[in-house]
Amino acid sequence: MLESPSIGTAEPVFYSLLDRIGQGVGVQIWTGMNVTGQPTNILNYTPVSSTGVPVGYAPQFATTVPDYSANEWQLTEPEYHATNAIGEVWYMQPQVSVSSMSEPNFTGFVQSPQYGNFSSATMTTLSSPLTDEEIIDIRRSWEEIRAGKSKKFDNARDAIEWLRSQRSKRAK
Amino acid sequence: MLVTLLSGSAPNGLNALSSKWKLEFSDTFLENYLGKSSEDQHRVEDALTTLAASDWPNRLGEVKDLPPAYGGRVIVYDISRSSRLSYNVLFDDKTISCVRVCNHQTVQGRKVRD
Repeated sequence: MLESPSIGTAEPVFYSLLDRIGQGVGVQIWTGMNVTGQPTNILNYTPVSSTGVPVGYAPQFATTVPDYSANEWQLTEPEYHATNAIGEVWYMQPQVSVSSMSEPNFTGFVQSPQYGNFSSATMTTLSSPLTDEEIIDIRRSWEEIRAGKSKKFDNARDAIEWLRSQRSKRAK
Repeated sequence: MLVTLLSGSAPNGLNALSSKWKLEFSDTFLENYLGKSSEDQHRVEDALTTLAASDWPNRLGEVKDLPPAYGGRVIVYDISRSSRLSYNVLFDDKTISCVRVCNHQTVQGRKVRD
């Protein structure tokens, strides 16, 4: 059994999710994980605009928090909301049903005006399988890391500053 | 049946979050990053900030199995409809190893244009 983090430590997860919703990327939150690391309980949420009208271009999404117990998420406000980069207010309104999934894949959860309705046959995960090219690159990366050919940073700020410096160097 | 309500305040910007993890970049990751559009580069930076600030960066992406010779598994984090960041979390070192940023052909079961 994994440790259940507190609400406070889980907040970055939601910031991340909200940020990604602003990009129109589908998101899932898991409430549990089985022994093979697959999500078990998946909560379905519908993004709506500040006027309560479903937002047309964003996919309806499922959100997930692995192993966060239900009790820890019984908060006082009925909605989780945020304003994205173009000023739209997004609300997550939880639907009342949660499906317990024992199968090792996601089935039939995502529906949206943009993408149409996914059936279990066409929607198995949010992210597509790794391509051969990705697998080759990943292996090459691991070999580089094992060989000590990697750059390591103590924090995200230093890491991003370095990336930007490399970007500037390349642009010259 | 499990029913959960989510709530909270609006985010005040990811940059305000502190970094709890070290970050490690392979040469391949750097080359991928430098080859991305400026918009995707910013998305990568936002994703790195989010991952480094998370208590559970391994849970923000989706685990993909790999052969043992290829590292056993990798976590993918979609940064846009056509790009995703591949990484792994090394708990002993408190390090997030970033191994790739790529375009991928399909998201959510359908073809997308890069």
